[in-house]
Amino acid sequence: MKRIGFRTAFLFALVTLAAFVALFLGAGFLYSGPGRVLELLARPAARESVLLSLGTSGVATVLAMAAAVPAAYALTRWRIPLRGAIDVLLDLPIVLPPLVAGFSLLILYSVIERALGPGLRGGPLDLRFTREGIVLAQFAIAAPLAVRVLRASFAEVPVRLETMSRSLGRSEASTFFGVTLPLARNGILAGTILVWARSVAEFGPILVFAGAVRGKTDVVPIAIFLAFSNGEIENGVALSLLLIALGVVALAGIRRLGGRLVIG
Amino acid sequence: MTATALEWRRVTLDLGDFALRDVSLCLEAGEWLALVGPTGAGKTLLLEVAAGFRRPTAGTIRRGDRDVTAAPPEDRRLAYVPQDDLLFPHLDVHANLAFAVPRRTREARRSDLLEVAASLGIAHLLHRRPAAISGGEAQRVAIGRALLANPEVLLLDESTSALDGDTREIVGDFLETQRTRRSLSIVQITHDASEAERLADRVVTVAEGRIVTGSPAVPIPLTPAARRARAS
Repeated sequence: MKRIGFRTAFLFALVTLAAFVALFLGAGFLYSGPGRVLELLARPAARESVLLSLGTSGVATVLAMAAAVPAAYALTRWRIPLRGAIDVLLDLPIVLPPLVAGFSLLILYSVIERALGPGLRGGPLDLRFTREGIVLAQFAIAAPLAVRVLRASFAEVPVRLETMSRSLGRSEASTFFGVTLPLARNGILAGTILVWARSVAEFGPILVFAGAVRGKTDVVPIAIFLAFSNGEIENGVALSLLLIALGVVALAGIRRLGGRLVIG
Repeated sequence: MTATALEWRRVTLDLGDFALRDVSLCLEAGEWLALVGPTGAGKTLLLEVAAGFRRPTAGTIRRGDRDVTAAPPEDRRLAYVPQDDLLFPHLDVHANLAFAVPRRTREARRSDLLEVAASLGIAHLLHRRPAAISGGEAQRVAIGRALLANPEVLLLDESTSALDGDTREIVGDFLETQRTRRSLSIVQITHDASEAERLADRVVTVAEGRIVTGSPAVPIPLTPAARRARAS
């Protein structure tokens, strides 16, 4: 009896929590109904937001992975000076409030401007309140997250297999491309999906750094924010449900690849 | 004077709970040296230090006239067949065998690869992944892969332990022919005294991280194989 009571209590906690999450995530459907949601998502403004989100998050993910693969491998395998400090530094953007990252990017631009003069303002490198700025804001969070996820993937590749490859005459680079990358492939793909999903959902740094301008920087999370701010609740609900659906797809992909979430 | 293929010169490897202590050992060019001794004596560590899998705490590893202690594994011309085979799980047997063959010479060396595979009795496994072959088959693939790397020194760590008696003899004879054909020097860890007697020129006993017989200071008698070779 005691055992049944113990299990019942734990299962009760699990079921209650799952029901709570399902309820608050699915509440949108109860509010609008699937037909209305699809109708709202078919409007040009919503479509543009979705395309802007997919485009910026895609570019940010590619850039983040391109930087994170070598960085994560170096951090995982090599004895480099200040490794612990670099590790903490790269984890910081993940654990800090996202707004702080966006605010810090703005401050960085102010500092550069102060050093170089006003020539930067409005030039091609001035990404503030632009669509390219959205990519930079997404990258600022996505890249450190990618490093964290890829470190776990590379750590799972046995070092002895790499040493064996080199013992058979392959160079360090050839070993990386011929042994390490293929063996870490599923982790890298799962990490890419995770980083992309996080970039699509990014809000705080984009709001601060790229702004919330309808028709210009309104990626889906920003569009949701603008919709709720203007009392367009149904629009906000429809876009929220779209993000939830994307999250489900991303998590299913990660599970299929056998990946695990390593966040924070 | 015989050239030295591989030398451990006053090698110490301190792992905290266990250490190789001040080990000196020479492998002559063309020699087959058997390392015997109880489990946990440090035999595997000796091979791993030589192959570049571990860096010694003190002492040097020399290949001929060259100090390779700090050299990366790819610059040692040593092929190591570890106890756990370390086949690449994402590659089939053929790709594992061809792994060490440079891409530009793969076509030219195709017959060599097929001959090695046939001699080791693994030709029928070429399209299987390591997960789909037995322990004994994996050992033979690992031996074939090491040979195809064209090393000057072959390090075998209980590499025939999962084979039945007949197959072990066939593989032993094959390695003996390859020793001459490829000008190999071989160090073999084995717990099979008869195998050591049959194949090796010299048997060295390792215990508690030290060479206890067969060191320059404590010479040991030649094995029957070596006696036969000298007599012929």
